[in-house]
Amino acid sequence: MSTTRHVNLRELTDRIRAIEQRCEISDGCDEPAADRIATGWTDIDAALGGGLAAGGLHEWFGVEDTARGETHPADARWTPPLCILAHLAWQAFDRSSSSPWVVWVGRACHPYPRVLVRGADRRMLERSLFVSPRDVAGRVWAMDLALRSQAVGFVVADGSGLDRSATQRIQLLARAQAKVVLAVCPPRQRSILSAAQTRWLVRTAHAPGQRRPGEIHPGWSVELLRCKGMRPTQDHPSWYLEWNRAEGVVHCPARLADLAGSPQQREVRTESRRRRSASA
Amino acid sequence: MTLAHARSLCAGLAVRDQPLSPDTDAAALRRLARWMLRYAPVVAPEDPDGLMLDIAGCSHLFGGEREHMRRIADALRRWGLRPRLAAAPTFACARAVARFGESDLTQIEDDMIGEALSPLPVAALRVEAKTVDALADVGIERIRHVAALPRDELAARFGRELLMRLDQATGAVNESIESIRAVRRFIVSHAFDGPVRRIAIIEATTRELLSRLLGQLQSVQRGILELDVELCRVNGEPQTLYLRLTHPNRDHAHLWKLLWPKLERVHLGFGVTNIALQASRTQRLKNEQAAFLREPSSSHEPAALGELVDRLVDRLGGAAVTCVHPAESYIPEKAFVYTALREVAPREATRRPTVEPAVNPAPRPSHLFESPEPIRVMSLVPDGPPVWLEWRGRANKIVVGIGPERIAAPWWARGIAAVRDYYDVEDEEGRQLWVFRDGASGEWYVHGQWI
Repeated sequence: MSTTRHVNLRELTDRIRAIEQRCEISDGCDEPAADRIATGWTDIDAALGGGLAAGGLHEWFGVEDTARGETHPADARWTPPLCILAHLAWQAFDRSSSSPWVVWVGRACHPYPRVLVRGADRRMLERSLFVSPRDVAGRVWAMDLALRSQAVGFVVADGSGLDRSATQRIQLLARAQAKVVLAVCPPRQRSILSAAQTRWLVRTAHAPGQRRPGEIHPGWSVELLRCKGMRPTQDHPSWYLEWNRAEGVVHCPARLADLAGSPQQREVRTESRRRRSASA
Repeated sequence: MTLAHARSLCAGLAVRDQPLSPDTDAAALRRLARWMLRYAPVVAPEDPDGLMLDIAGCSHLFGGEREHMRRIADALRRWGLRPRLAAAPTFACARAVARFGESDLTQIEDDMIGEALSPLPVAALRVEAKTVDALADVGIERIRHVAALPRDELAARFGRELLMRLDQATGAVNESIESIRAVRRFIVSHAFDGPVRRIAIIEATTRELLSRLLGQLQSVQRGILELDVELCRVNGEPQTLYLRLTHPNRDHAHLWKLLWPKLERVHLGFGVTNIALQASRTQRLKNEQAAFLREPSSSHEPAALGELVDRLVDRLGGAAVTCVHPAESYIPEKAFVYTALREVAPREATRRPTVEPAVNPAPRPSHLFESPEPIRVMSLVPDGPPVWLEWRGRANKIVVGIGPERIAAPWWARGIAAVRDYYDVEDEEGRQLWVFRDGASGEWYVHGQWI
């Protein structure tokens, strides 16, 4: 047996061990893995094995805002989940000790800068670079360039109009550079093939349980549509997330399963069931 | 005398109005100081209208001290100036005699300092005006009067500065001046034997010239901030390409990536005869130890960010690459300012505490519309909080509402924006909106959304 063969076997053993450890983490350990970015949402982190993969493209389908009378899906307006993006950007920002730059590519995903400030902490605001390309090709090029830069640690982009080859290019580059790319896409783009690591669908939702008068906590239900390379440990991949306006943080207060009677929940369940039956 | 007074005295007075600009004058003085480096190795500008030259050891090159001074005076007269020169063993003595002496050209020997200074007024010692006034109050107006007084009493009554200036003038205390430095120009050029129209040759030549230019910069540890490439064409105006960088850079590959797209679009006309590259603006780079395996570190971050921003700006335009700063305004659309990134500051500079406007701690939506969108609302009481709204073709009851938060433009800008009463509302569909009632028109608008 040659030396090269021996080295390859050793690498293979290490990789298998790493995969086994990751599976153990997903079984209930709270410590995030080194190659993961903890979302800060306990249930979701547990399901993903520690958080979002640090090197990969993650697609987030925004909230559709169809006016009554509009039948064509292309006419539907959509809004990217900016609170969730800002929260995840903060999570990635806090994970790194060197405070890397965050690049926001595409005007659609630029949040109102106030959400990038947490109390007196303006680091995210000061380390954010906003890029506004005119077209899809420009956005893909800017994402590519940002991923290759040593100064950038995190990329948030408007992913509308990205096709399979573009997502493949970004996914491979993100993996090679071990950086996270969050791409926000219109919901109608769900049917387009993509090489993204994970795909998420966001809908507006009411808080479960009794509402306290005089309080508004913007909330959303997020559904994990795809998680490549790992089987989610939870059967029902939907969670309720809530924006804490005082702290500027997105919380995961309770499972969506608590929303037994809400029409939103019924819709989510019906869709999940339909997808399961389709896959069967 | 004011201009109006002069006009009243002299009818038909021709006026050449030159606006006073201290910065422009100071810049011109520094340019003149650099030009004077050909007469002395150490030249320091003395605002607002003086130059100090250290000519020790170099006068023999100009035929002696007297001839040296005469040449300097002639050179300055050729610039249209009326110079007053004095050469003395000390800077302070030379300055005092040049400004307050009787002759335009004075040479003072080593043992004549006291005699030269004695008849001059106290102001020639560069002391503060209040010290001059205080001395004048007690009848001391000339330097010889000051020199005759006991030193300890002088210091106690008029401060130590007076003594120090006197000692500097007499040579009892050394005085040094900070010389202006000559601007080194980094230019490389190549002249072809004849007109060249092949882009491959021009590309290879420009690459070579860029390498030579970067070699020059490397020896002085500087990086390029602005690069001008001039192509002299036969029977045509020279064509100049400009590169503006956000961070000093000396990386050939990066500069070539920015330069080549511009170069290949140049109209060569009947051919190029000469190519010149000039680093018109450079900046010192941090010295770095050469490493065999260079690992990314925080010290490389500004350079990496600068390269990223350069590429983005080059392709997308300066307005498409921005950063955000808080602004002093309560108006939501003016609370933050997007500014084009023109310069990437070093990491140490970004950490330096700076006074920035405070960010309003009140909750704000994550998505603020570019312009407020009109909505229809229903309220239980006139001008009260809405209980129903219709936005983007969908009508819903409002489940929760918080407000109002009144936001008004400052009194000096009341004409720009009226008073607005903002409410945070959540409708039946779970949409969290930021709506306001315009105080002037009474109309309702959606201005943002928590999403």
